[in-house]
Amino acid sequence: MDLPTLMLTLTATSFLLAVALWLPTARTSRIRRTEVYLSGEPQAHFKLSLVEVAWAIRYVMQRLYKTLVEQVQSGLFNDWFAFSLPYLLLLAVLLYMALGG
Amino acid sequence: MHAVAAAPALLVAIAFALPLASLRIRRASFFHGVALLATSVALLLTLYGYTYVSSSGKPLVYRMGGWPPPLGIVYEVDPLSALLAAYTALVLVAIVAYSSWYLGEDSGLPYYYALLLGLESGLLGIYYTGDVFNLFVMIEVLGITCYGLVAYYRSTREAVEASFKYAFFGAIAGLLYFLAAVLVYASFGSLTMGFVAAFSRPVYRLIYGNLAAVLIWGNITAAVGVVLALSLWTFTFKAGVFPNHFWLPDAHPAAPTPISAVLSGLVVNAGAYASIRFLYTVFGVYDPLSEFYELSNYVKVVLLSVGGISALFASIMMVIQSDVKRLIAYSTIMHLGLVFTGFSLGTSEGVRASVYHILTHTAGKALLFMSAGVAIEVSRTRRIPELRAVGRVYKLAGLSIVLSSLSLVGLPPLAGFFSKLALYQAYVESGHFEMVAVLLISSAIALLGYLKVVYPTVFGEPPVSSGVSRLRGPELAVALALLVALLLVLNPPVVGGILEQASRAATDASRYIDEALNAFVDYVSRLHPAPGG
Amino acid sequence: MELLVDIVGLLLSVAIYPGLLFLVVLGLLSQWYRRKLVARLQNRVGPKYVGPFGVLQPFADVYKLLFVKEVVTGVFTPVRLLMFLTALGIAAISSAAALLPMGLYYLKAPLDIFVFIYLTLYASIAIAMLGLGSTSPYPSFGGARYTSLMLVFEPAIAMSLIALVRVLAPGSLSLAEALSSPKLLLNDPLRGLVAVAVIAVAAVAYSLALLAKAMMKPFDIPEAETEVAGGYLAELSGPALGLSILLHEVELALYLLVLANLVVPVPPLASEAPLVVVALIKYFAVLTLLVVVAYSMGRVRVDQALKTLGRYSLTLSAVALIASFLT
Repeated sequence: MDLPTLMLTLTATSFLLAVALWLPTARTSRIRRTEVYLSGEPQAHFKLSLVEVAWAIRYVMQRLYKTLVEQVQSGLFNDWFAFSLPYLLLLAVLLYMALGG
Repeated sequence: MHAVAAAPALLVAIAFALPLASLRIRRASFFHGVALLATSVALLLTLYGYTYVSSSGKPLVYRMGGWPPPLGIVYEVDPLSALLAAYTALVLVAIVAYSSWYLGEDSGLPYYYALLLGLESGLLGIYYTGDVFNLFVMIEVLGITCYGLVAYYRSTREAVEASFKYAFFGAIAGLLYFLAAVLVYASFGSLTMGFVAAFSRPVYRLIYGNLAAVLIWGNITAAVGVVLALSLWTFTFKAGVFPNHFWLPDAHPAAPTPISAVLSGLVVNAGAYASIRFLYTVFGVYDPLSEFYELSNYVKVVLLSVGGISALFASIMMVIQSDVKRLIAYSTIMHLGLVFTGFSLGTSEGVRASVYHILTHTAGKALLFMSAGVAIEVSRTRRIPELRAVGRVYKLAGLSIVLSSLSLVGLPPLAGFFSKLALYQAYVESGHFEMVAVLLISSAIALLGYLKVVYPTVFGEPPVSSGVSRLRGPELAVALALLVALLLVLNPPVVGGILEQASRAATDASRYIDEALNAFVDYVSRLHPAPGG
Repeated sequence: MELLVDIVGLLLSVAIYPGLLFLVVLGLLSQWYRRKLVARLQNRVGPKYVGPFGVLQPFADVYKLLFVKEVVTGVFTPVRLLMFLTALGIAAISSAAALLPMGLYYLKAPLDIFVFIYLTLYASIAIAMLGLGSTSPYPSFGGARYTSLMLVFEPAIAMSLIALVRVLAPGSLSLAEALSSPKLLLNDPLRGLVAVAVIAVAAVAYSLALLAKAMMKPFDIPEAETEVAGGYLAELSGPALGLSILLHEVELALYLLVLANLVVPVPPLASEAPLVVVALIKYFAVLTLLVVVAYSMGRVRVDQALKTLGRYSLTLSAVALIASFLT
């Protein structure tokens, strides 16, 4: 069997099995809703604030991000040219020399 | 046959007519209706063009004003161009439907639609044109309409600044491409892409020796390196690939949401298409029969690195954004980086994977922008921590956000999975396993970014009731449903044959060249009939 | 006809052995073993009453939970959706078990280690979504912490697995082949030494990352009982809780099975009964080692966890991966 077929087969199998597992358990249970568990605080004080999902990436790579945001993707137009123009020169020199011209 | 050229011309005509009509007609529904009608007609024309070209198997050559190549401007439509043009027209119909919901009774509507129809005309022109200078003209048309549309909310500082940066960068890029066109004309003596393609292959120079002697001037090889460098620079700018991507995260969020969908979904494809056209058809960099085959390794390495860096850089930047539209804009950079790595491999699987990824990315990105726009409208803010869960009150929008994010991440059985699989197979086939790693890592990091969009809009707090009243109307449902259908339909059994034909048309330039040369030869033979009939 | 046999074989393999049923039994037995071992280490008794030596205690727990008629949950929690995601995680792990050469029917393909990694990713994402999707503060904290850890241990596990499979099945990078017919370079002493070193380093990296993935101490921040009130489990009850316990145990069982049989490649894993018994003995030996080491430590904070995992798991697995390409 080759890799894509294997992946698709097993994905399909897992979805089928998931539905088979889920249907009996989900259908037969009633749901009783309570207040959100806030260790006793009243729910009126509750505002669902979303925790930063990608906290780890931000923490681990904070130095990289500092450089990226301040020097690479700054909003300043002149900085952009510091990146784009060398790329053009590199391309021109490389391709001109590659043709033996 | 002439239907091919009608589409851009018709759209431009209507685009100019709309501001004139606005002097007399004030009703918004008139402009919505006219725009919808115009884009639907364009869709029919481009679909007709596609069926004509794909069934006849040869590219279609339309001579503007009857002038033959190499003197006149031609439109040369091969299966790749026709496919992308028809697809663009289709997605634009959905976006116009969405615009009619989004903009409602806005006062600048005539100008909005004038610019939007001009944008579509520019896009179709880029796909259809067979002339190097006409490509410049169409790039500028596309550019100017884009600059205007980005600055649509001209009372906000952000839009004006973003538009100005885009325009300045675009003007320089256009100028450099113009220089490339001048160099092409100076060396090859003709601006027709088919002719430049012919003269890049020694075989054709031999067969059409007299013609070549008349047109070619000086040393071709000296110029082509610089031409290719300038053109690739301009096309990477248009496609928003590192390091020419800097305008994209500012311009795409500042535009109105339907325009963000157009910019991220359709306009950037033009840069990728033009690169494919120049690299494969016109200069034959990956064609062993062409003069410039020595460039193939250099171009491949450069484009692979540029595309790979775009993908990684954009996926990392996506994760820390707090503005939802800016996050989606970074994801565009990532996917276009992957598209560039696809066709830079030089194989027909690579081109096929790139074109497939262009199709699925367009559908996913347009849908994501549109449904995120619904969420923004309902929440009255673009900041992610303050977005409300539109998925709780309008199931179609929530479903659209989830499906488009999953397709862009690459989850089966949505379309994005199959295009990423095609890219993976192209990488493995040409032995570039490091690109597989780039693909997987950037997709994994991007998943977190998409989660940041999906989570508040589907699982978050329900929106306040005053925002919800906007959600009525069939246009919104139709627009979203059309693109969701596209995401479900674009899988290999359906599009396999279409993609095969398009990628073969790109990699095998002989039919393209033959049609252009035949157009010339036909014309000449009709002027001077051969003695004896 | 042959296709029908294949389909039936696949379904039986995924649902019964070595798939869902086998993994559930093995997982819950491992839970009993863990609870009993930790209890004896802490001078307690552990499960005692249900079944001989309390062996059936986890089974009783899960059975009771799954058949509760009512799910009590918070106001905003989409509990049916979360139950589907949990079921999807369990199903993906069971499907990944179809790659193990333990049963009479198993699937094999070159590079199928990537399929294994891809399927087990569903389980991690399911746990992360259980936390984040509960739309309640304590589960959100648990889910966010799990996601943060995931960014470090997922690549570590993936790289260690690829390194191990590369050493044991260099041509095809196939997990099934690495388990059933590992190539041990006994003839060439230098390469054999490098291979053994790679296996050792990758095993350490894998075990550490597995502790984080299974939320065992010292990395059990996502389900910290005192800090985040149960973390991702806070808003789940009844069948939802039962399914998430099953997911946890099944995931741990599969990973330990693969670890035990890759790190001690002889005798290889096949469908004959004695070899399966040996495989299970290896499994319980590794489980004992892991539990003893883990439960002798306390819980660490999330940034400490990230630093530890990054230093000792991620870098070691990267080293193992690079070294495996040199053999």
